[in-house]
Amino acid sequence: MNKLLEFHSLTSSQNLKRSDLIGRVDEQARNLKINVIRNHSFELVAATLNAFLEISGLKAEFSYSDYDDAFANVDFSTGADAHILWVDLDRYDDKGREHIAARLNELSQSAADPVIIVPIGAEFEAQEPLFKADVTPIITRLGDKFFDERLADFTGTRCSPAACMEMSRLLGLRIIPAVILPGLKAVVVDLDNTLYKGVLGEDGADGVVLEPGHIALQQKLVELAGQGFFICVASKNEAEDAEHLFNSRTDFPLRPEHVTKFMVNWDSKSSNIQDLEKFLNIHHSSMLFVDDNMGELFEVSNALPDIKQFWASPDSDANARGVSIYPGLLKSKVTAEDAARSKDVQANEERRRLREQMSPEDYLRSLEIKISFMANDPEQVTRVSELSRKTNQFIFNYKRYSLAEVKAAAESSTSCVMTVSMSDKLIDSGIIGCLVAHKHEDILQVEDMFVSCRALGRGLDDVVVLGAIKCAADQLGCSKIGIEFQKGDRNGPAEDFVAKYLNEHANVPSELDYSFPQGIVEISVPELDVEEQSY
Amino acid sequence: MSENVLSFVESRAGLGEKFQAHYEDAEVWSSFDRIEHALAAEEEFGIQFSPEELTELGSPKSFVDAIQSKLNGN
Repeated sequence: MNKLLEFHSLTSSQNLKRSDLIGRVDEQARNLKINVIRNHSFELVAATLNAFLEISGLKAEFSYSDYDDAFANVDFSTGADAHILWVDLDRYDDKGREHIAARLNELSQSAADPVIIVPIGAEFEAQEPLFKADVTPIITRLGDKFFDERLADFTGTRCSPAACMEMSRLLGLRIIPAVILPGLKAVVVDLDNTLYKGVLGEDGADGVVLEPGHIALQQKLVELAGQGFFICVASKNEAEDAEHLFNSRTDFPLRPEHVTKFMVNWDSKSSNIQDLEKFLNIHHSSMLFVDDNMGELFEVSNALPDIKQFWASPDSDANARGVSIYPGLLKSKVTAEDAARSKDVQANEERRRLREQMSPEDYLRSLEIKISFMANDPEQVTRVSELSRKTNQFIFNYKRYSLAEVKAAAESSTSCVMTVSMSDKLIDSGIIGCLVAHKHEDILQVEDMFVSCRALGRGLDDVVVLGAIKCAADQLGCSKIGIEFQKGDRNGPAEDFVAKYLNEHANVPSELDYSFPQGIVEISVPELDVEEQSY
Repeated sequence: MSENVLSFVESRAGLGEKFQAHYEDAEVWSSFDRIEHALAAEEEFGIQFSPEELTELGSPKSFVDAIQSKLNGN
């Protein structure tokens, strides 16, 4: 529980001391190599960064470029896990700023690893794949204390120690984990003394109090719901009381439609979260659990050791700040699939109901499923990169593709990026699967294949995966298929699939004997100039 | 001299048993270490060094003297 208190302080405190954080590092954490390319000093930021990275199980070693206002010798091929462009734009006139912005955006296009820019001194418009760390809220909060010209000759930067620590917090908690690690997928929140002050069962719906911090936290949850995170409620209360609360308290920013699933009952929190794992089809390590009760947090962490937890303290403002910056809750871009995610999972309940009433084939027919395959679509590269970074269960090799890598594969005449979209009469799920493969003579070598957990278990895994492989082989004119597979901590579903359908290809490349099922789902392969057809 | 100041500088120094031996050694720390120690002292004691005072910080003794002087209002 000490860690929970420490992490609460690291995410929320406005009175952190640099001297408490310097040198702090989790020696067991995964080591990152970060290449800093700069025109002013980064060392004050680096000195405290490992304290913040610890929450994500990371630590960093830094390599530094020389100070160079021209950014003439930028090298992104250094084998780093990420690059940071640390730029004081105040050192240029308007024309110079324009030139540097164009140069840095252009250079980042060729980087295979994530590139983060931290611009200070002027506005900077970052173009994908350049990932901008927005320091505006820090400047707003610190005001004229953001800069400290007194120290500039000694530290090598105009930024004050306080500003450097806040930028360290931003990078360590929010930005670096976002570009390195798969993001979280769900936030599970308690009700009493978490979303409001008071106890619903005692104070009643009208008696619980919304402080500004509670409003800010709820607004953050609404924002996250809009970005495709599952927001779930786990509370020990009467379900009718909770329903009445949300119906009667229209001043709550969080509305029932933002919540993917309510688990309001008297079962243990851990059993409710395990039910949520099944309902959402995600592992608890992709969840953040927020609760004010240390006993509940302890019970959950004992049963589900990989879950992320945040203690909702009596200071509601601090809780809102902490959840807002918590690692794993930042997306570089929100896709159409993100917006549909919660409704898609809710539709699974209707699919389950239908499945129980019909034969498997009648069930699939009744859903009016359409599956579309698309090859090398430049408009889908962001989704491919995002899905590769967040998929943990159905993934062959855990390749975490950068945008540049996906673009390069899509543009190559000897590679193929095949995306699979799925819709049914309940909802359009968007892109739910991706394959990246390369051609070697007449062999299609599948480098990775990953499928969203939302699409698994619909009885169509074989159509999605084998169909994608078949389409990619047709696209590149390959007659044989080779499969690469690497067993990881959580890709059991993919392992089972490979063992069942692709085992021989995992050993020796060989021909794939697969044809789409007839009369069950509508298959569309538009990029291959094949008429839309029903199999 | 305040024990408080001395123990702060000693704990920051990271020199262990060699602290006394290097007490007046102006080269014992890198320039970056010196600025970090100065920032920590400002944070700990609620003081602020001028650029001129920062230039003169080198040995552990110079830190102790400078912090003490600030606390004494000089």
